[in-house]
Amino acid sequence: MASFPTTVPTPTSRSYSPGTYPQTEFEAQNGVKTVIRYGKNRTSATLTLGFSNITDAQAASILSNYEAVNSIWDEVTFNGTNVIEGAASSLQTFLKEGSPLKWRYSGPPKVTSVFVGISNVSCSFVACLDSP
Amino acid sequence: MPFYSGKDGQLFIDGTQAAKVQSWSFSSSQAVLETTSLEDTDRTIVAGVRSYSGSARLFYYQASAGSGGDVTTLINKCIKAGTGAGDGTAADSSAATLKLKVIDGSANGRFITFSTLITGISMNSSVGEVLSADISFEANGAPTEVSI
Repeated sequence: MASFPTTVPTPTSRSYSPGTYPQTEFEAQNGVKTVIRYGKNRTSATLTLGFSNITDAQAASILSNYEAVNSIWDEVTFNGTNVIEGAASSLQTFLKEGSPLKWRYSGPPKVTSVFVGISNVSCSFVACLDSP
Repeated sequence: MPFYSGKDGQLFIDGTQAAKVQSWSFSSSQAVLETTSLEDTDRTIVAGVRSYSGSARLFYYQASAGSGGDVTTLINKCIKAGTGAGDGTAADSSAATLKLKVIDGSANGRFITFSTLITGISMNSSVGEVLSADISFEANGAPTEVSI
């Protein structure tokens, strides 16, 4: 596992969704609903981070982290980084997740240059349940 | 003399002192980029782009009939005649180097110089008033001289 860069400041924006439980619902003609639950763990939690007006060096460190993590299909950890700062400890528990969910990049980060040496970066993650 | 008034002001257009200037002004603005993050209680910023603009009022003055003057010079910077009615491809506007100066008794005075594009000119001829022109400009890039 690789830690998200600690040199990157606290995000400007952060949105989190805890994901769903794997299940299928059947609704009979009389309206009775039957749920078949396939597992006890949530899956596909999402986390989207926005970093506004950070330095190009900080933006590059995010891209390097993306390369280092995705090139070997590794996971990203946020514990001890600025990603979860500004949130209460009870919320941080969800944001940094933990076993069995593992954060991975759901897509490449997007870097937008806005000024000399200044960039906006957005990156999104999905928490996955790996097969044993 | 620590205080200055309009009689101490001068305007230079492309290096030549303009005659019959009633007023000049300029303003500078600094754009900011917000860096406030989720754990902050107060807004934080870093510097962005700077920009400069200004205006001047000049009497429409000619040293001799038909000779044109400083207002003509400035008009010719931003208003270009076409070759005929409906001509949509007249010449591009020209840059003007404007030096805004205060005479303070020193050898060179206090001044700031911009390379500008004239963004607006208005003239109004009416009974009982001396013909004058109001111009507005925006600077292209940083001032070329700052000693004001």
